[in-house]
Amino acid sequence: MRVLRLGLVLTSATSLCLLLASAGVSAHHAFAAEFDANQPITLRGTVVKVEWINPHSWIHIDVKGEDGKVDRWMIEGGNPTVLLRRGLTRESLPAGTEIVVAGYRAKGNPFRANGRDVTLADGRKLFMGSSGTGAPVDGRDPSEKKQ
Amino acid sequence: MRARVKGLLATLALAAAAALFVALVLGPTVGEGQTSTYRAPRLPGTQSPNFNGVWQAFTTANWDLLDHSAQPGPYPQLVGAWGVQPEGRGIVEGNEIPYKPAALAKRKANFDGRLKIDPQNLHDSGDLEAKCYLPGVPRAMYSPYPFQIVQSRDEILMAFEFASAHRIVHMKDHRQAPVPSWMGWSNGHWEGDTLVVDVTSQNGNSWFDRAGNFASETLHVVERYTATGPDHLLYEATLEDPATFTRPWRISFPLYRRMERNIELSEMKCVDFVEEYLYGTLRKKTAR
Amino acid sequence: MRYGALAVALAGIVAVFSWPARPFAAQAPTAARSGGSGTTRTAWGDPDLQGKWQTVETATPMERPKEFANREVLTDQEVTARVDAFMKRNQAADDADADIAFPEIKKLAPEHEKGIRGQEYNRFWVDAGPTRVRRWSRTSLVIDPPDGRLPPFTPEAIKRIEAREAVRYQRGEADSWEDRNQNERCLQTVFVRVNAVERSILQAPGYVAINVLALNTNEPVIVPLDNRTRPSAAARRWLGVSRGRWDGTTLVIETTNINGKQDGGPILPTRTPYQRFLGPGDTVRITERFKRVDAETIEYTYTVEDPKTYVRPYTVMRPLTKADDNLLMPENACHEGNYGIVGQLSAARADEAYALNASRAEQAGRQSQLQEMKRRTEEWVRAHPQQR
Repeated sequence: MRVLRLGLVLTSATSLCLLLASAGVSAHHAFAAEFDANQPITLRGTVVKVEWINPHSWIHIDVKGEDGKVDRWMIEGGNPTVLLRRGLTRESLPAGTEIVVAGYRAKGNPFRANGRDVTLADGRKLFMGSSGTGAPVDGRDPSEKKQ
Repeated sequence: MRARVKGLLATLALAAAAALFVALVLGPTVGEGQTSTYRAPRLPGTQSPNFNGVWQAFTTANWDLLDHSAQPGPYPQLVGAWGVQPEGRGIVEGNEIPYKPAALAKRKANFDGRLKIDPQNLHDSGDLEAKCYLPGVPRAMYSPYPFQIVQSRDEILMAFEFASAHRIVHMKDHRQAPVPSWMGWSNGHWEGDTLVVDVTSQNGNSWFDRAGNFASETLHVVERYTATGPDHLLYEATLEDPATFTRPWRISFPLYRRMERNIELSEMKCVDFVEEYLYGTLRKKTAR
Repeated sequence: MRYGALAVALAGIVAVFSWPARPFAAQAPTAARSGGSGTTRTAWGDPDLQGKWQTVETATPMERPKEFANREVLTDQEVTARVDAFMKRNQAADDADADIAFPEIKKLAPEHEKGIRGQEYNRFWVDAGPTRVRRWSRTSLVIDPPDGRLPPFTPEAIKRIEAREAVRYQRGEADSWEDRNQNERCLQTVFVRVNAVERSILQAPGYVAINVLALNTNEPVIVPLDNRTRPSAAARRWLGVSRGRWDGTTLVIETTNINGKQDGGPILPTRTPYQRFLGPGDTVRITERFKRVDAETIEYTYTVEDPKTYVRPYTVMRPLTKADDNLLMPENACHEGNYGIVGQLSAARADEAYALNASRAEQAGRQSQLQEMKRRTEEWVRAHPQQR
């Protein structure tokens, strides 16, 4: 059969988009099945641990209330394969880091929320560019084939 | 001169015969810490022994790593003798796991809650096997299901039947794991004909058996795989975790090649078998 | 599924890198018709396909758009137009906070999601980095039937689907875990296998092992090459039983013994596209071909045949490109980390409790009036004993 040639490719980052696209059925569509768009929330807490699991990572944080009581919250993050390929490691969000989470509450569990925005206590954005900690390696896709 | 040569030759012959006797009759002894004298065929294109095949351990360690009696299983009034825990000798050298006192208390708590499920805290209690979770290392090695080794020079794949778990032993790319995982990160190298694998970065959730024996996320396992015959591997592992144990400890047992013609791994995907177990309390009361 | 629309929500800065595609008509003499180009051999003589392979993004739809009718390939200009359209859909605002690049998605969102649709996750969570789209001139991923579209379902399949839709109609979206789709339950199907995003191929004498990476999957499929017998249909699997052989230097894998749960159990799950429907599974055969055309490229196809589901077989082509050997393929512990399904079930129960409590709160408001009515009735009964 005729072989249809492909234009040469430079990097292999493309497949992750396919991965996430194929996940579309469970990612964005399922958001409303779990979280409440009418209950935005902002939390300030200390990282206890990060679970690098699929399809979402989860950040466990301790949040101290006004009464001094500490509650353990779980914050839903992004796809770990995406994060790991961008160079994030366990050092990117170590235990003890103070973070501010803005997201939406879960409908079925009082101590869970989606983490739309995660910033450090001093306001620096997490995971975004060189201004944040745990920034992806600038200018290099770790999955890029070495030339 | 001829007599001396004859004498020398006779002595050499006797020595050779003696050595042969030792090798054949006393044999390569299989046991803890003993070196095997069996030389496995080489993996084509390499100088390393060929461990390809389907293997399985036949111990009762999955129930309990230490010596244990026979016991009724859970809910015998429902399932009778199915699920009975058999008696067995442990696989731990010295039959003792050197827990620190706090860890010993956690082990007991594990045991007491081994079939307890709280869907809002799924990782806090319950034996992993019952939840159909990945077993971790070393439990995967003595899980009562076969596993297959697909060995190439730079990577050795171990595929486990239970829950489709797998490990990749990196023979060349010995980087550190970026994050913890359920099956950990395995870096391997050869020491003579023994495969030595260094396992780190497990996530601390795994148990060693159904009895609640466990370690934390700083568990470090060093495994040794040695062929002791064409159809047997000796598996030895040293486990250390200063957060949980007062000293390193060792386990060992043989791995048997599954000899059935056309043996292949079956599929044991148990996720949809345990959904009721895990989430049953969250189902709508009037629904199926 | 809405491929492009979903990609919008996900891509970061998007750029096109491509070399001019070698013209389809002018095949270089080294075209791998004999499969020899770039194929080395293992030490035991099998063609060597080892390494990490990624499924390439080509902006090609699964089924041929109607405007291309019976055309298999596009002109260079049409390829450019297609790639440009894809890039435009994926173009995001430079400011990662803006998150306003999803007007289409927001327009189509149901009422209760309108406020946030497209803004649930900040871009850093889903930004997979620059998307390189490879130019590819096929009009569709489906290459057979010749019209580039999936074949019709059999009448039997239509009946089965309608019966399952009837069950679906009676249920809420999260009455049970069985109402959620296979992705959300962390179940693997053969479609996950053939639509793998990445594969790591390992070979040993007599075997090929393919680690399949997709969203909720990273697991090995070990394929024996010795043509051994299969178990009977009494033994069936989520990913089937596979047997492989070499056709020249092309790896051919045939998979049967597939279970009947590929499109859900007795309950049709929500959000399961019709493309994922397979019948009871006992007559399904999936044939994969890995044809190495050069050192960097595998022409991968899969053929689905099931006389109980489709009137004829169909074949899909997805080119694969070689990735760096150091590519990290992280563990995929989907079930172990399935907080999502707990969240979905809990949310549905919370919604039901909310509705029940609202009704009861309204009811409670009437109780003191009811007590007063009862008191008056008892008073009248006492006053009129002979009229009871």
